[in-house]
Amino acid sequence: MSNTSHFKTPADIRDFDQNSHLANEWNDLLSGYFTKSISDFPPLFFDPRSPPVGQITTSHITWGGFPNILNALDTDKEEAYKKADKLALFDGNFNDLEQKSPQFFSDPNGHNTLPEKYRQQDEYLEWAVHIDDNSGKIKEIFFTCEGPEYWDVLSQDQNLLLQLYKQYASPNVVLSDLLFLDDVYQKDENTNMIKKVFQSGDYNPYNKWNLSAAIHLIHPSNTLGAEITLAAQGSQLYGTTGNILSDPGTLICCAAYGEPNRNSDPTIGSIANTQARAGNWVSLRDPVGLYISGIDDSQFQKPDGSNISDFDNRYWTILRASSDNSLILRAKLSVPEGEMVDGRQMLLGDLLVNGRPLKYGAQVAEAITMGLFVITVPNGPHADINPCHFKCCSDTDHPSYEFIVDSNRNCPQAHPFARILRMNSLSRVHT
Amino acid sequence: MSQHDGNLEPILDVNDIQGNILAGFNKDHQTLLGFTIDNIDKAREYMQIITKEISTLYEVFSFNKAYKSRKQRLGKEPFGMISTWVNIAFSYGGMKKMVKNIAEIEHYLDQPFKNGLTFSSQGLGDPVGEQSEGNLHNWIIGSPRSIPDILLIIASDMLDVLKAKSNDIIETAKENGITNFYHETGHDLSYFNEEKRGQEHFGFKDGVSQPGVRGKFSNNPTDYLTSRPSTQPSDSNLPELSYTGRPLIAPGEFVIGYPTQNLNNSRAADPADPSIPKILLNGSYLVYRRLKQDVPAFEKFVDIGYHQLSSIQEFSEMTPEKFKSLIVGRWPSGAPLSLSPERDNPRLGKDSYKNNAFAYSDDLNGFKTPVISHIRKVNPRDQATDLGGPSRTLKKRILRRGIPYGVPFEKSKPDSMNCDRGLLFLSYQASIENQFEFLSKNWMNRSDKPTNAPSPNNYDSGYDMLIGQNGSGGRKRFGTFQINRNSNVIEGQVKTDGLNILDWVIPTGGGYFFSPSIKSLKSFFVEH
Repeated sequence: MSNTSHFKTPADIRDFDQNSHLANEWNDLLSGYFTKSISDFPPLFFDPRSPPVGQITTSHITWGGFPNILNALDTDKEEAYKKADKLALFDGNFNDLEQKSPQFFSDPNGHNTLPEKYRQQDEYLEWAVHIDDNSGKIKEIFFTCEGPEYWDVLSQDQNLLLQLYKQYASPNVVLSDLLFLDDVYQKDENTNMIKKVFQSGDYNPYNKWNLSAAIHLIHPSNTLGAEITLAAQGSQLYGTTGNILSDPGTLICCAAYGEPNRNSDPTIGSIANTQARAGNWVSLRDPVGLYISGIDDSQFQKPDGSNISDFDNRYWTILRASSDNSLILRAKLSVPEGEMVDGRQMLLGDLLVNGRPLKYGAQVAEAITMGLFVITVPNGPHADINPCHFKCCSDTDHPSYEFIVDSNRNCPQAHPFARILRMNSLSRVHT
Repeated sequence: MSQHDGNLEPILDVNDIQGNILAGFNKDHQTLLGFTIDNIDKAREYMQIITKEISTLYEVFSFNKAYKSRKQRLGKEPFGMISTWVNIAFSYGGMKKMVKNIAEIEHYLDQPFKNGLTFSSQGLGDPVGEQSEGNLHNWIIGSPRSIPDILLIIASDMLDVLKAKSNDIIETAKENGITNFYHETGHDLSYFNEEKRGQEHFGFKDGVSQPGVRGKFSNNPTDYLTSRPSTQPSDSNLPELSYTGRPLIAPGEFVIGYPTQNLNNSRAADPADPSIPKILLNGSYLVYRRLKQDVPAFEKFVDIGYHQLSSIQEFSEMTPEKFKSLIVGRWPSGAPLSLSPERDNPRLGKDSYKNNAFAYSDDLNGFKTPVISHIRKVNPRDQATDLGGPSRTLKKRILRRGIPYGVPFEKSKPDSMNCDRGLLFLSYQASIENQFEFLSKNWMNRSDKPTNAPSPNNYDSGYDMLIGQNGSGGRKRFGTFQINRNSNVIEGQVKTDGLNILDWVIPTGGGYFFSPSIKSLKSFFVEH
């Protein structure tokens, strides 16, 4: 197998048409991800640019955009919505999803925590809510599922970076808003060593315009690298001879290839694994990406309870997508101009979602279906069976919340939250 | 095993829970009565009378058990062993009339229940054309002008007894300020033709797959509501099964106030929310949908679909019966395609110990059971879905208690063409939003969920072609079918685009109701 073509950009978006250097950089990044995954998780995972001979089939894997972790933690839905809409600090504490945040410092001795924030939305869908100043109601919501790595590559062309931010976030963006002005340090959770993760002048993915306009994903778990690793790990067999694991819940606990509380990870890993158990080659379709598959209009009503006609075309605006709009990267929900209620412009906050007033972006996220594409080719080589190195424990206070520990450890009894958010793939500096 | 097993098998309040919820009336004749409360004070007094009539879980379960035992000994239906049951449910409007200070519990009430089925109708994909009989304004029952405050379900083995009981209740209610305005009786189709026992009007055996509900009748360690074998699947993440292969599910998914299924572990339960108000405890939400079945339209669709598919060379051996069965996921006898993919197997269909013993993860493509088949859409079993692992599917199950109405269609009798026939669909669940509506909106009515088959043409798998809807998409639907030829997937799609017939299951009435406990009826519904 030889690699003959470049990896496409997510949704085959054309930002790099005028900059072959960035196109190469993007290709190199994805090539690196695939080369590493193929090497680390053999033998069925392959490079989609050079598929094995045979019929290629595509599985459109779908999942819900609202963080399932909050379903596991909160029985009160309103509380869950509130939490999902909140930003979290990189302060080393647990966020509302009971995940331990990394901590950013402005000096190499681990002092002066930086005020950078991220969204607590970890189903590869993130959103930013805009409120109408006069009424306090939601005016519009921006949704994104673009991997941060893409914008990291793009940031090498600062003119392009600024141009796109001006186009998608605000004409008021200035370049310095988008960059770290100082070096950024982070403590390594394993070694406690302080390391530099961004340099002064690097692109700051957590910049205020991304926070306010949802330009790309920033939750530490929401990366394309994570997607590729997950599919690759899923393509391995787990268990013992005569007892190859097949249950999606059992698999993710055994292989630790993702977050067991998510909607997305258990399913993505399981589909890859089902194909592997059938002896098929497995990969992700090029353009590799995470996509918004659609929004369910049946869940939205006007203030009087009536349904909304032509919701997809009038209320839902696709902002970045493939040329045929089938692969959506960024979209906006808003009420079209001229739609009136009580003699004034109707706002999103006037709408109902399944009969409840629309008060949170998370309610809309719950109506959004996400997707990615796993491809397979029959007649893969023999695959060895990997033993389980991990297992799941359930939290004592929230029994539906699971966390993964080494298989030889006992499940801890007291406050066992052990999810530490890793974010190496977002760092520009690896020391 | 989880540290929360203790919650899995709570002792059920068998004298407090209404009988149809967990045991099921399972009668050949069932009447639905819709009432309006005209005089609230009198109605509250009447609640003391009617409460005595309400059949409990203990009574219905005990009778069903005795009946089954007798049938086994005799080898046929036991003659003369009859019972007549009554259960009650209230719409939100009815509850507001009867229950004082209902505002205090508003927060805990299911949102679709509060809004009512009329609010949800369009979201469920129901027809909206003004002339359509599926338009909620044209419904026979449950239109904005005809939402019952009270829905009574009366069931009996004997039609005469059922009629007498219904008339008696209607009369007594009338004397107490409660007016009957809707009266409809459904029959098992064996009433018309013994060979049709247990079938619905399209000719398929119905109600084959129901969840098994956990919980016990007493402290006795084996006194389970649903009996199960002593050995279970070795992977402790897989659900435990009843004797009939049905997964065992925590009772809180169907009756409010009991532990609910854990999201990640099929054999663990989460504790019930301790803040649930007393009025809701031991109660359940009831969905009623009067689903008219247009049998000639369905047969015509089957004929068109079968031709669309069989025009593809690799599908040329398709027959109308096979195509129809692919839409359902079972053969008319109830035999699952998963276990008998080539032809019907009536013996398997009848064998309640075997006809649910199958899964889909070995059939990701749906070569045997299409991914869009009705039984796979609403219950994807061991497959991962858009929700994650299959343990989460267990939280979406419902207990179906429906019965057909109308006389069976007979091709040889042209008069029978235009008769109103269908299903009085009834289901119990702890949340209409998370269960019935989720299944309808998120799975049956969507072309890309709960799963898609791997496709050589980048197709999504499609809609539930039996009862799925696509309200906002011009009612167009499609289904993708696959076969395997020499390790190659061959794919064909059946589409309703351009067909004159778009609907063969048409909602013509219904409502969302709450079925309270006996204690709740005695206290919260009778207080002045």
